[in-house]
Amino acid sequence: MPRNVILIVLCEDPQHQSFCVSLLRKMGFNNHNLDLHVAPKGRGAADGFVLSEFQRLVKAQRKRSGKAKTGLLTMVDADIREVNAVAANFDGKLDSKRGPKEHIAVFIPKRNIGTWVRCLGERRAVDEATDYGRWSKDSDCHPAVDHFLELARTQASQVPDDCPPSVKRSLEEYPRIARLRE
Amino acid sequence: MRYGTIRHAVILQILSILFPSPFPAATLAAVLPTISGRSPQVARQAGFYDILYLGSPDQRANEVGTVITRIYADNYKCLSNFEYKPGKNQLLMGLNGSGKSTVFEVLQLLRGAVAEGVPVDDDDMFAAHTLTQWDTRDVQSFELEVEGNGGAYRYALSIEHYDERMNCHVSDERLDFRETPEDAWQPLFLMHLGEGTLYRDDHSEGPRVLMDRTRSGVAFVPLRPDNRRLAWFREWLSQVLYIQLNPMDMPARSEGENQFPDQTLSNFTSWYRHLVQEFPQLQGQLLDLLRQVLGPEFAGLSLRGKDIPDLRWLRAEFRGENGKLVWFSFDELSDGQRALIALYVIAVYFREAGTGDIGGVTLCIDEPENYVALAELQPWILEVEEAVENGSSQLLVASHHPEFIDHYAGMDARQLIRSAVGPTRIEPFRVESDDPIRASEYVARGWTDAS
Repeated sequence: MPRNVILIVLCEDPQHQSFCVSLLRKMGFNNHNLDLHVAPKGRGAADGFVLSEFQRLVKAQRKRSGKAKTGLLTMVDADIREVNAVAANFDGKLDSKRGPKEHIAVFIPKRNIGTWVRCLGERRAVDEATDYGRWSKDSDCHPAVDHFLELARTQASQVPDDCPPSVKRSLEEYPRIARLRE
Repeated sequence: MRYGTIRHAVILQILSILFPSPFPAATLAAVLPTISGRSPQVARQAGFYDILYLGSPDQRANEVGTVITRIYADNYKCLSNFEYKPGKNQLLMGLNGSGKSTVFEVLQLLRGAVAEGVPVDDDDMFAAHTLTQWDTRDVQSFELEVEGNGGAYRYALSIEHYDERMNCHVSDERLDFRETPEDAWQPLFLMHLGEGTLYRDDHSEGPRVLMDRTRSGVAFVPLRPDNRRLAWFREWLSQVLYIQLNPMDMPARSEGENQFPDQTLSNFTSWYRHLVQEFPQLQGQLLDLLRQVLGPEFAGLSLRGKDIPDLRWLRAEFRGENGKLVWFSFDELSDGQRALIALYVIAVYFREAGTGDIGGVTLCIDEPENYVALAELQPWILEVEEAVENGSSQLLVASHHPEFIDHYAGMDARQLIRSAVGPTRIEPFRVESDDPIRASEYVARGWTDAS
């Protein structure tokens, strides 16, 4: 991938980072194509940081949309909130709605990224209310990333019915960043 | 390899054949440095002890991660009763003079004493000026705890300064091992006032021997089938690397191979010569990475000899527009290009060493951002982190740079704090993560003591 293609990863924590970076590497992006923005560890909710960075980064990206080939992949856990409500919160931060051709994707795992790793990687049944915890090694998320990519490359109608809604929603977001490679 | 090193290793090998019981050679080993010159990396460089006693490369590759879990220093420069429990991949940040480099220096000194056998009274080791300025005690204490080799090690060294601090020697040294945190520490080696007690891997006591107090005793215990744990520790410690890049002092010329890089990488070409022999796959990986950094025209690094045997010159090769090869001597490249090449060689070595036959490496790198363009920092750290994640190595970075601060603030960062005259203390770096600003902005604005 040429160096002038930059994909910004904006997320809450290192586990989001490892999922997103692994996904993007498998999509063909290399380290020079990535720019990571991970919320700092500390007191308070990390999604506050993600939300304000999202607003700032989208604004900057839109300003340069004609000149720079830049995309933004954001990941934030829904936790106990509704995925649509979290998505609306992000969209509400923007001056205008995301256009279909804008390379701006928002992945919102519910309950959290651990749910995705359990259902996509371990192929186990999940519900989106239970907190299944996290994983210990970055590479533990690789099978989930592989399966996510597999689903992303199939027809939407062929995605299994029991696929968690938050995964389905993110699969719909996936083409926004995939098109950046074209 | 120097002649003295070979001679020393051969003498030890002969001794171990002549004396099949574990320890008679130890007494002689302790005095060998004085008869055969300094003997750093005695057996490791010779290679054959590795084969005999350290197990096959495959066995070692299967070991779990090797991580320094605790560093303790007392009465060493600004480190007074200082304890640091490093993570597997961590940033050390802090004001100038807060002690970041000093922490790495401690590891460098222990490596020198134990893995290289450097005398503790050497000018570059525990000289009197390294005593804490405001401390009147004459003893410096150091401790190191390491997880690896199927358990954990605890190493302790005390250096006593005497003759009005004109000289120093080892007052106490011990190495312990335990398999699980629930077990009690069991000795592998003890030295007190020049008398060493050797232990086998089952912790049964061996003979007591007189030792040279100007040197670490652990450094000169010969490797035996029944002291593989001690051997492993010494071998591992040689792979604790402290790097402070200085591309202005990286000549293209090499007179021989060096197994390890020195602190400023002034022996870069000689180290690279060794690496391409040790890890033939390194050149291909490096080519892919450096093409992303130096451009698709980059065609590789090559070592060229001239008429003089053993001399090699490093050069960077590029393909011109017409496919013609254009090359530059390594020292003709810019400081930034040399730094980048060195950083990626470190990254590839780090990856190979962490998964390959020599076990985990602990890389302590001080301000890697120097000389390097902003856009190159994050790709490099991602490359090295992948190696940390997939291998058994450990990465400790000291930096003030916003790129590193922001990167590590979400993961694992420690801040060193010190007044102008006072001891260093260490604490986790934390911010208000619901604030709409980046961690580096906190630091820049002085909202944290680590600014």
